[in-house]
Amino acid sequence: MKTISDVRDQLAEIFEDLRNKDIKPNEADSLANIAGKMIASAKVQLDYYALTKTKADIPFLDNQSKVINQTKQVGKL
Amino acid sequence: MKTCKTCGEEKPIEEFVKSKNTKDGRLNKCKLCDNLIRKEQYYANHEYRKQKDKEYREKNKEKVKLWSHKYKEKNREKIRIADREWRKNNPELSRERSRRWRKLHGKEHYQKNKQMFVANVVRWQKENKERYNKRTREWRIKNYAKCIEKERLSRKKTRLKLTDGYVARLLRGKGKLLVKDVPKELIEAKRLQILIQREIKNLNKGELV
Repeated sequence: MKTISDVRDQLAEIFEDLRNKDIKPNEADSLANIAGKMIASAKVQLDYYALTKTKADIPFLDNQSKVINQTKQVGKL
Repeated sequence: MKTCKTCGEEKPIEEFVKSKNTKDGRLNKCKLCDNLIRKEQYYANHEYRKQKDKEYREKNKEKVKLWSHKYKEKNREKIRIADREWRKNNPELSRERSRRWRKLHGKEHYQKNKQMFVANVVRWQKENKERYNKRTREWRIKNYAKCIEKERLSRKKTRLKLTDGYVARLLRGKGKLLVKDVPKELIEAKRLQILIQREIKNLNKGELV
């Protein structure tokens, strides 16, 4: 789980398994808890950028990094 | 000059009714007398004519519809002015009529033209900002309990639906981050996490029961 998309996909899978009773609630709970921590850490980073008023460059939030990469490429061209 | 056979008065030829069957192109009766006679005839057979007209209209619905449509198209401005005048002269009747119409077709009409109605309301609110704010403030004071109940229900709805705004606000907490600055993917991940937690809660409740 390197990016937020991976976290999201993983969570979706866990949710589906939980509904189909393929996973124990305890396991699902701990996994969701870990995902929550990751989300919270990303949020802390976002908060930091909001406070310092700088442009957010967080690789974990892949969408943003993609946008930044694209702009860099456009700059090179 | 010509003499009218009905009233016996001598009048200029232009005041006589036109006719293609006479030598001088005019009838023997003047326009005034002709009008009076026609009116008398009309009122003498008023009920009969009314009945006949009604029957005709019912028999030739499509034809009459087309005629009236054509007439309305041609005389739109005239009809509008006449309508306004009538409403001015008969305010009670006009109100009663529109009330009756609204009762019969109001809902249907609103559903058909919902977008237009909403746009009109929004435009009015923008144009009369102060009046609108004053009105809402007054309404809130008058219906305080209702207001609180409405807000509580709306909060419950967003909590159940897990709307983007609700999840973003949850993520933000007391931080200085703006709701619009929270990335969509982060919101989606958080939403899924909450859903899982809710599902677990439900499962645990079921086990307890």
